[in-house]
Amino acid sequence: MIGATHFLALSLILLCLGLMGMMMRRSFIAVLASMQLALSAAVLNLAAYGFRLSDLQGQTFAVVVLAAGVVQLVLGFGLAIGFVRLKEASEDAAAGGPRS
Amino acid sequence: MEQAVPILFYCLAVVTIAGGVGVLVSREPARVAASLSAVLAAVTALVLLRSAVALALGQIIVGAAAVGLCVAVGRRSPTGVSSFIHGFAPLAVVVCLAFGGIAAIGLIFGVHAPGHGDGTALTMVNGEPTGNVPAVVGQIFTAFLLPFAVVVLTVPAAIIGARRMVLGPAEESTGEGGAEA
Repeated sequence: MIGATHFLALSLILLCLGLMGMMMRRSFIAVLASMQLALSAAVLNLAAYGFRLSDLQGQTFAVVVLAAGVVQLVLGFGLAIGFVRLKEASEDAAAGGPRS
Repeated sequence: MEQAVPILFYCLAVVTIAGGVGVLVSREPARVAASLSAVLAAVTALVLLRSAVALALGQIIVGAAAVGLCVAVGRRSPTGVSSFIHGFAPLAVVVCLAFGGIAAIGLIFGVHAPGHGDGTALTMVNGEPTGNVPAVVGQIFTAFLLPFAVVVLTVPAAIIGARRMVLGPAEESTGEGGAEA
Protein backbone atom coordinates (compact mmCIF):
# COMPACT_ATOMS: atom_id res chain seq x y z
CA MET A 1 0.00 0.00 0.00
CA ILE A 2 1.42 3.33 -1.05
CA GLY A 3 0.95 5.99 1.60
CA ALA A 4 1.91 9.58 2.18
CA THR A 5 5.25 8.44 3.64
CA HIS A 6 6.31 7.05 0.26
CA PHE A 7 5.47 10.33 -1.42
CA LEU A 8 7.24 12.23 1.37
CA ALA A 9 10.40 10.17 0.85
CA LEU A 10 10.29 10.68 -2.92
CA SER A 11 9.73 14.42 -2.59
CA LEU A 12 12.60 14.60 -0.08
CA ILE A 13 14.94 12.95 -2.59
CA LEU A 14 13.70 15.31 -5.30
CA LEU A 15 14.18 18.34 -3.05
CA CYS A 16 17.74 17.21 -2.17
CA LEU A 17 18.56 16.76 -5.87
CA GLY A 18 17.17 20.23 -6.60
CA LEU A 19 19.15 21.84 -3.79
CA MET A 20 22.33 20.03 -4.87
CA GLY A 21 21.80 21.24 -8.43
CA MET A 22 21.30 24.82 -7.26
CA MET A 23 24.51 24.72 -5.22
CA MET A 24 26.74 22.64 -7.49
CA ARG A 25 25.90 23.65 -11.05
CA ARG A 26 27.13 26.83 -12.68
CA SER A 27 25.02 26.64 -15.85
CA PHE A 28 22.06 29.02 -15.64
CA ILE A 29 19.67 26.58 -17.30
CA ALA A 30 20.75 23.77 -14.97
CA VAL A 31 20.16 25.98 -11.90
CA LEU A 32 16.75 26.91 -13.30
CA ALA A 33 15.90 23.24 -13.85
CA SER A 34 17.06 22.44 -10.31
CA MET A 35 14.70 25.09 -8.94
CA GLN A 36 11.91 23.44 -10.90
CA LEU A 37 12.84 20.09 -9.32
CA ALA A 38 12.47 21.61 -5.85
CA LEU A 39 9.10 23.09 -6.83
CA SER A 40 7.98 19.70 -8.15
CA ALA A 41 8.88 18.18 -4.79
CA ALA A 42 6.63 20.73 -3.08
CA VAL A 43 3.78 20.04 -5.53
CA LEU A 44 4.09 16.28 -4.95
CA ASN A 45 3.98 16.74 -1.20
CA LEU A 46 0.96 19.04 -1.33
CA ALA A 47 -0.92 16.57 -3.53
CA ALA A 48 -0.02 13.58 -1.33
CA TYR A 49 -1.00 15.21 1.96
CA GLY A 50 -4.09 16.80 0.42
CA PHE A 51 -5.16 13.27 -0.51
CA ARG A 52 -4.31 11.87 2.91
CA LEU A 53 -6.19 14.58 4.80
CA SER A 54 -9.05 14.59 2.26
CA ASP A 55 -8.55 18.33 1.87
CA LEU A 56 -8.59 20.08 -1.47
CA GLN A 57 -6.69 23.11 -0.21
CA GLY A 58 -3.37 21.33 -0.75
CA GLN A 59 -4.20 20.77 -4.39
CA THR A 60 -5.41 24.33 -4.85
CA PHE A 61 -2.27 25.74 -3.26
CA ALA A 62 -0.19 23.47 -5.49
CA VAL A 63 -1.90 24.98 -8.55
CA VAL A 64 -0.83 28.44 -7.32
CA VAL A 65 2.72 27.13 -6.76
CA LEU A 66 2.65 25.75 -10.30
CA ALA A 67 1.66 29.14 -11.72
CA ALA A 68 4.47 30.80 -9.75
CA GLY A 69 6.83 28.20 -11.21
CA VAL A 70 5.75 29.22 -14.71
CA VAL A 71 6.68 32.85 -13.94
CA GLN A 72 10.07 31.72 -12.67
CA LEU A 73 10.64 29.55 -15.73
CA VAL A 74 9.67 32.28 -18.22
CA LEU A 75 11.79 34.94 -16.53
CA GLY A 76 14.74 32.59 -16.13
CA PHE A 77 14.61 31.54 -19.75
CA GLY A 78 14.45 35.17 -20.90
CA LEU A 79 17.32 36.09 -18.61
CA ALA A 80 19.43 33.20 -19.91
CA ILE A 81 18.91 34.16 -23.55
CA GLY A 82 19.43 37.85 -22.76
CA PHE A 83 22.69 36.98 -21.02
CA VAL A 84 23.88 34.95 -24.02
CA ARG A 85 23.05 37.89 -26.32
CA LEU A 86 24.92 40.30 -24.08
CA LYS A 87 27.93 37.99 -23.99
CA GLU A 88 27.93 37.64 -27.78
CA ALA A 89 27.61 41.42 -28.23
CA SER A 90 30.56 42.03 -25.91
CA GLU A 91 32.60 39.37 -27.72
CA ASP A 92 31.75 41.03 -31.05
CA ALA A 93 32.76 44.40 -29.69
CA ALA A 94 36.04 42.94 -28.42
CA ALA A 95 36.72 41.30 -31.81
CA GLY A 96 36.04 44.60 -33.62
CA GLY A 97 32.88 43.66 -35.51
CA PRO A 98 30.06 41.17 -35.86
CA ARG A 99 30.97 37.57 -36.51
CA SER A 100 29.99 35.92 -39.80
CA MET B 1 -6.08 -2.86 -10.48
CA GLU B 2 -5.06 -1.82 -6.96
CA GLN B 3 -2.05 -4.14 -7.10
CA ALA B 4 -0.75 -2.16 -10.07
CA VAL B 5 -0.63 1.13 -8.16
CA PRO B 6 2.49 0.31 -6.05
CA ILE B 7 4.28 -1.01 -9.15
CA LEU B 8 3.37 2.13 -11.05
CA PHE B 9 4.46 4.29 -8.12
CA TYR B 10 7.89 2.64 -7.95
CA CYS B 11 8.35 2.86 -11.75
CA LEU B 12 7.46 6.54 -11.72
CA ALA B 13 9.68 7.13 -8.68
CA VAL B 14 12.61 5.59 -10.56
CA VAL B 15 11.89 7.84 -13.58
CA THR B 16 11.62 10.89 -11.28
CA ILE B 17 14.91 10.20 -9.49
CA ALA B 18 16.70 9.31 -12.74
CA GLY B 19 15.44 12.56 -14.28
CA GLY B 20 16.60 14.51 -11.22
CA VAL B 21 20.06 12.94 -11.43
CA GLY B 22 20.04 13.72 -15.17
CA VAL B 23 19.42 17.40 -14.41
CA LEU B 24 22.30 17.28 -11.95
CA VAL B 25 24.90 15.62 -14.18
CA SER B 26 23.98 16.61 -17.77
CA ARG B 27 26.24 19.14 -19.45
CA GLU B 28 24.13 19.79 -22.57
CA PRO B 29 21.22 22.23 -22.01
CA ALA B 30 18.99 20.08 -24.22
CA ARG B 31 19.66 17.04 -22.03
CA VAL B 32 18.94 19.08 -18.91
CA ALA B 33 15.61 20.12 -20.48
CA ALA B 34 14.85 16.50 -21.42
CA SER B 35 15.59 15.29 -17.89
CA LEU B 36 13.42 18.01 -16.39
CA SER B 37 10.61 17.11 -18.78
CA ALA B 38 10.85 13.47 -17.68
CA VAL B 39 10.60 14.56 -14.04
CA LEU B 40 7.60 16.80 -14.75
CA ALA B 41 5.84 14.03 -16.69
CA ALA B 42 6.46 11.50 -13.92
CA VAL B 43 5.29 13.95 -11.24
CA THR B 44 2.13 14.52 -13.30
CA ALA B 45 1.39 10.81 -13.26
CA LEU B 46 2.25 10.61 -9.53
CA VAL B 47 -0.20 13.36 -8.58
CA LEU B 48 -2.82 11.56 -10.64
CA LEU B 49 -2.21 8.52 -8.44
CA ARG B 50 -3.30 10.76 -5.55
CA SER B 51 -6.47 11.68 -7.49
CA ALA B 52 -5.28 15.25 -8.02
CA VAL B 53 -6.88 15.59 -11.45
CA ALA B 54 -6.95 19.41 -11.47
CA LEU B 55 -3.31 19.62 -10.49
CA ALA B 56 -2.30 17.09 -13.13
CA LEU B 57 -4.22 19.09 -15.71
CA GLY B 58 -2.26 22.17 -14.66
CA GLN B 59 1.02 20.25 -14.92
CA ILE B 60 0.17 19.04 -18.43
CA ILE B 61 -0.74 22.59 -19.53
CA VAL B 62 2.47 23.98 -18.00
CA GLY B 63 4.61 21.26 -19.58
CA ALA B 64 3.09 21.78 -23.02
CA ALA B 65 3.41 25.57 -22.66
CA ALA B 66 7.06 25.26 -21.62
CA VAL B 67 7.88 23.12 -24.66
CA GLY B 68 5.98 25.49 -26.96
CA LEU B 69 7.71 28.51 -25.43
CA CYS B 70 11.16 26.99 -25.91
CA VAL B 71 10.46 26.20 -29.56
CA ALA B 72 8.76 29.56 -30.28
CA VAL B 73 11.48 31.62 -28.62
CA GLY B 74 14.22 29.48 -30.13
CA ARG B 75 13.04 30.08 -33.68
CA ARG B 76 13.36 33.84 -33.25
CA SER B 77 16.46 33.83 -31.12
CA PRO B 78 19.96 34.76 -32.31
CA THR B 79 22.50 32.12 -33.27
CA GLY B 80 23.98 32.06 -29.76
CA VAL B 81 21.27 29.77 -28.48
CA SER B 82 20.73 27.85 -31.71
CA SER B 83 22.58 24.82 -30.38
CA PHE B 84 20.14 24.60 -27.50
CA ILE B 85 17.12 24.97 -29.76
CA HIS B 86 18.43 22.59 -32.42
CA GLY B 87 18.87 20.00 -29.71
CA PHE B 88 15.47 20.78 -28.28
CA ALA B 89 13.23 20.96 -31.38
CA PRO B 90 13.13 17.21 -32.19
CA LEU B 91 13.12 16.55 -28.49
CA ALA B 92 9.94 18.59 -28.10
CA VAL B 93 7.93 15.99 -30.03
CA VAL B 94 9.31 13.15 -27.89
CA VAL B 95 8.63 15.12 -24.71
CA CYS B 96 5.04 15.85 -25.76
CA LEU B 97 4.48 12.17 -26.56
CA ALA B 98 6.00 11.17 -23.22
CA PHE B 99 3.76 13.66 -21.41
CA GLY B 100 0.69 12.37 -23.21
CA GLY B 101 1.57 8.72 -22.65
CA ILE B 102 2.46 9.01 -18.98
CA ALA B 103 -0.51 11.25 -18.26
CA ALA B 104 -2.80 8.72 -19.99
CA ILE B 105 -1.36 5.86 -17.91
CA GLY B 106 -1.68 7.99 -14.79
CA LEU B 107 -5.29 8.82 -15.62
CA ILE B 108 -6.17 5.15 -16.15
CA PHE B 109 -4.59 4.04 -12.88
CA GLY B 110 -5.38 7.25 -11.00
CA VAL B 111 -9.09 6.73 -11.47
CA HIS B 112 -8.76 3.37 -9.75
CA ALA B 113 -6.35 4.52 -7.06
CA PRO B 114 -7.23 3.59 -3.46
CA GLY B 115 -9.41 6.22 -1.88
CA HIS B 116 -11.05 7.34 -5.08
CA GLY B 117 -14.75 7.09 -4.61
CA ASP B 118 -14.63 5.59 -1.12
CA GLY B 119 -14.98 8.65 1.06
CA THR B 120 -11.74 10.50 0.41
CA ALA B 121 -10.46 13.12 -1.97
CA LEU B 122 -13.00 13.06 -4.77
CA THR B 123 -16.29 12.12 -3.14
CA MET B 124 -16.02 15.05 -0.76
CA VAL B 125 -16.73 17.31 -3.74
CA ASN B 126 -20.52 17.32 -3.72
CA GLY B 127 -20.41 13.52 -3.99
CA GLU B 128 -19.15 13.64 -7.56
CA PRO B 129 -16.95 10.62 -8.33
CA THR B 130 -15.58 11.77 -11.67
CA GLY B 131 -13.21 14.60 -10.87
CA ASN B 132 -12.37 17.49 -8.61
CA VAL B 133 -11.60 20.17 -11.16
CA PRO B 134 -14.75 22.25 -10.49
CA ALA B 135 -14.12 22.19 -6.73
CA VAL B 136 -10.49 23.28 -7.12
CA VAL B 137 -11.49 26.05 -9.52
CA GLY B 138 -14.16 27.10 -7.04
CA GLN B 139 -11.57 27.31 -4.25
CA ILE B 140 -9.22 29.30 -6.49
CA PHE B 141 -11.93 31.90 -7.05
CA THR B 142 -12.91 32.11 -3.38
CA ALA B 143 -10.29 31.28 -0.73
CA PHE B 144 -7.24 31.59 -2.99
CA LEU B 145 -8.44 34.54 -5.09
CA LEU B 146 -5.82 37.06 -3.95
CA PRO B 147 -2.66 34.90 -4.38
CA PHE B 148 -3.96 33.54 -7.66
CA ALA B 149 -4.76 37.04 -8.95
CA VAL B 150 -1.25 38.18 -8.06
CA VAL B 151 0.30 35.22 -9.87
CA VAL B 152 -1.98 35.60 -12.89
CA LEU B 153 -1.07 39.27 -13.20
CA THR B 154 2.60 38.38 -12.94
CA VAL B 155 2.55 35.80 -15.76
CA PRO B 156 1.88 38.26 -18.66
CA ALA B 157 4.38 40.71 -17.16
CA ALA B 158 6.98 37.93 -17.09
CA ILE B 159 6.18 36.89 -20.68
CA ILE B 160 6.44 40.50 -21.93
CA GLY B 161 9.70 40.99 -20.01
CA ALA B 162 11.17 37.73 -21.32
CA ARG B 163 10.18 38.63 -24.88
CA ARG B 164 11.85 42.00 -24.52
CA MET B 165 14.99 40.39 -23.15
CA VAL B 166 15.10 37.81 -25.93
CA LEU B 167 14.37 40.10 -28.88
CA GLY B 168 15.95 43.30 -27.60
CA PRO B 169 14.16 46.69 -27.53
CA ALA B 170 15.09 47.83 -31.08
CA GLU B 171 14.34 44.48 -32.69
CA GLU B 172 11.02 44.25 -30.89
CA SER B 173 9.89 47.68 -32.17
CA THR B 174 11.05 47.19 -35.77
CA GLY B 175 10.56 43.46 -36.08
CA GLU B 176 13.97 43.08 -37.71
CA GLY B 177 17.12 41.28 -36.57
CA GLY B 178 20.52 42.62 -35.69
CA ALA B 179 19.69 44.64 -32.60
CA GLU B 180 22.06 44.82 -29.68
CA ALA B 181 21.02 43.64 -26.24
